[in-house]
Amino acid sequence: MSRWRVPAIVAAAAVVLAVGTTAAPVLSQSQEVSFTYIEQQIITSIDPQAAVDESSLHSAINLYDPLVYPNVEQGTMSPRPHVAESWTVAPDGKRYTFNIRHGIKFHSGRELTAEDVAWSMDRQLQIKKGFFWIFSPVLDPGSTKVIDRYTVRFDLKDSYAPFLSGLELFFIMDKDLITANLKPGPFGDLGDYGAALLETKDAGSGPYRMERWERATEMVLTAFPDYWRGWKPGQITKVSYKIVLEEATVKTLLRSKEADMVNQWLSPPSFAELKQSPGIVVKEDPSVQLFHLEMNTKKPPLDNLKVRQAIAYAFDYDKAIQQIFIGATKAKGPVPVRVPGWNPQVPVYGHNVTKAKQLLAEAGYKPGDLTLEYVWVSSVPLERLIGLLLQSNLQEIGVKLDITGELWPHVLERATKAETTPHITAIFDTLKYPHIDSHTYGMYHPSCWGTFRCMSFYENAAATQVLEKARRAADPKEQMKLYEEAQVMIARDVPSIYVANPLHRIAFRDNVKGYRFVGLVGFDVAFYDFTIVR
Amino acid sequence: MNFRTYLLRRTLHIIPVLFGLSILIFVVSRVIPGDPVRLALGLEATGEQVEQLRRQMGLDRPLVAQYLAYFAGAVRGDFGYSLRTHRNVAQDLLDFFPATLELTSVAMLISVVVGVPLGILAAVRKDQGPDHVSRIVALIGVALPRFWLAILLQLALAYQLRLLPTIGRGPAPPVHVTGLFLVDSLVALRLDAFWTSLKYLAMPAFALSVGTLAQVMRLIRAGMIEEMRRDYALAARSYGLPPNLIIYKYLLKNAFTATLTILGLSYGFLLGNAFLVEAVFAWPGLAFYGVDALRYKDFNGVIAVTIVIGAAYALVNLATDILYGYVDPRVRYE
Repeated sequence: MSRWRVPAIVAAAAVVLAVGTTAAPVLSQSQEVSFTYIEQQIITSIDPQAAVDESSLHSAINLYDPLVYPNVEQGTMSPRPHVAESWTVAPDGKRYTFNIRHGIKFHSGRELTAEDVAWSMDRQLQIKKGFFWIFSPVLDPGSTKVIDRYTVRFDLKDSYAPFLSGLELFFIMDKDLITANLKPGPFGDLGDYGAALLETKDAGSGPYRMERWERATEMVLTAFPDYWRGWKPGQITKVSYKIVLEEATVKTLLRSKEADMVNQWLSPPSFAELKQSPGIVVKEDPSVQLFHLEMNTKKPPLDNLKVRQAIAYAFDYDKAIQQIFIGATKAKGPVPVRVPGWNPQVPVYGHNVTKAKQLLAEAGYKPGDLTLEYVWVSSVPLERLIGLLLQSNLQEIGVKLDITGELWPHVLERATKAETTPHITAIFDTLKYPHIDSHTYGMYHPSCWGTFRCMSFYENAAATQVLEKARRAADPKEQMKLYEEAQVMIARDVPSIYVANPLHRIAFRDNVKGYRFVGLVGFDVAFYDFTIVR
Repeated sequence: MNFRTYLLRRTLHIIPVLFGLSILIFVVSRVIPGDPVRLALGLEATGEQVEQLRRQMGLDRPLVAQYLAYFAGAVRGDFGYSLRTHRNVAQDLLDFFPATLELTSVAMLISVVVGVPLGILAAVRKDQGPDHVSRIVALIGVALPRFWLAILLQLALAYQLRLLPTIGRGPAPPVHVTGLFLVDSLVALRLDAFWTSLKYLAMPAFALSVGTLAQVMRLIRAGMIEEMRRDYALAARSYGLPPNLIIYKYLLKNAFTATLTILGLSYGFLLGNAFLVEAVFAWPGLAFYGVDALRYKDFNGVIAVTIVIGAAYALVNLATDILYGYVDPRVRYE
């Protein structure tokens, strides 16, 4: 079968050399460098195939190796070789063949092989947890084939654009260790599929081994001396990952040097305060998050394009950015601007009250005719401020806005049907997998109706067709062209008011070097990348 | 009715209380809006996958059938699967409850050990310096939010003076018997571990105790002043009995009844309401766990925490009732 090699791997080969695979220095006992990281949410599971939240992903990223890795060295989330040192894709985009790097060792001392990769994918699909939904549309258990000790092949049901980048979230597990420690469970011969084992131990090949895990307080990681990428002086050899909920305590720990780095969940005023503290760096990067106001296109009067356009013109974007989302980038379309494939040609709305009034009149509504419902998530006060801004903006064009705060589970419940979904809902939506498909197909294809991501219930047959074509396109260039086309079509139909791509912030002591943020959740806290200058 | 019969009857009373509580919290947890399964699976899970887990957990069955299954499990110590921690809730309870029990018990001990002498001093020196000081201390203790005091203590004793650890429960003792670090340290005959655990406990326990301490102080003061005016106190003084004997043997015991009620109620209350203090000190307790379960609608976790707190409340109140009889011989077990 004729095949073509993914061009990206040529460039990525340089990265592989850079990360030093050939002469991996051995870790010396005398080089101990300890590091304390503070997180404000508990690690719910250290099973890398059950992880979905940020803290659980941190454990996965540091204890395990994914098949491919975001290219953090080049500041992008596009995949580069990692456990797979190269790969080929069949012209129809349905067959991916990966060559597994030789000499990668699990923490058990056994070599990682193609068998572990195939077994891990089957486990991911069978336990139906974590990021299984990225792979389940195109893979069934058993459709990953071991060709030889170092070659594995995925046979997809259909070509699927996000597949390769989705593998950044596919972590390889030690098959032998898990199968030797099975307990009774719901998976037949495979019992609990290692769930009990993974309560206390890791089964990975990542740069760190788990020394201790106390679910709600601390996880202690120690460097794995035989890690295949090797070690150099200054890298962190012991990590204390602490869970602290209270913001004031988190700040105290960083200031008193009891912590080296604290998580992104502090409030903007706290980050501003830390910026003023000596010896602390607050790193700010544009995130891959979109804050938008989803408009229910199935609910009158928002089923009328002109009404949606009027609202989009009425909203004061500059005030939202300058006074509420301080430091954020104005959103331009559904795709956050730093995501590869974002289309700069996408139509962008600005604050224009005259135009808004005109569109409302063209739609057949007079001032005072309309009352709309705006729902914000009650744990996010910032969304209320946006609601108040929108309320005053709409008042100018004679539209009344009722503002309601609701609990997140209740918002999810309301999102299940168009009839129960509010007119306008404030939503923060982070890239769910490292591909533009997340913020196009994932938000505007009718298959996602019923979830919080699709509270616009957007429907446009032409756009749907382009999205489906994009997802099936095997050629990356054609893929991107189609996704760009879809962005323009969607933005023209105004299913949302695209407000902001907020800043991602994190704070650390100024002697911590090597922090890199590429947008993909969790991968910025890869302790292997950090060094400490004493 | 003798004491044994009374004790048995009161213990049996706890069963219908807990049964009622379990029904109430079970129904409430099921009817509040929001889909915990979708939250647990990740928001991108398909409807089919959500349904599958719902079936696995028996959530597609009628509410009564769900409750009966839950009840049968709970009796065996199986509180169901946690959608948040991905393991049996019973295991979570074993991990989290001892931390809260230890924290609350030490806080109650501080309330009594500090509050009672200060209350006595305020009564004996009524309207003098110590009384005025105790009044101000009590006012501050009752009015000051616990979590705010906790942050102040942390800034002063941990950050500035570096006398005590900032957060956490400290390293676990070498043996695990009760999960209470102080007790386990003593079981292991490790005084160094005991001292370390005590240092970690000092700030959170004190912050948690302050409200109760203030109440105890004021109640003891009021009770003591009342008792000091009674004839028997006057007679004792006129017989020339030593003041300390009168205070500690006769007056205090009689003045303690109201305080005992407050201690019983506070103990139960603090077990379930230590969250803010636990959050500030990153204390891995049951309140911390319960609030997390509530935020993520992990209903099995919420039900179990409620039942455990309810049971603890009932047992503490039973103990209080028994102690009434010791403190006040007029109380009969009828």
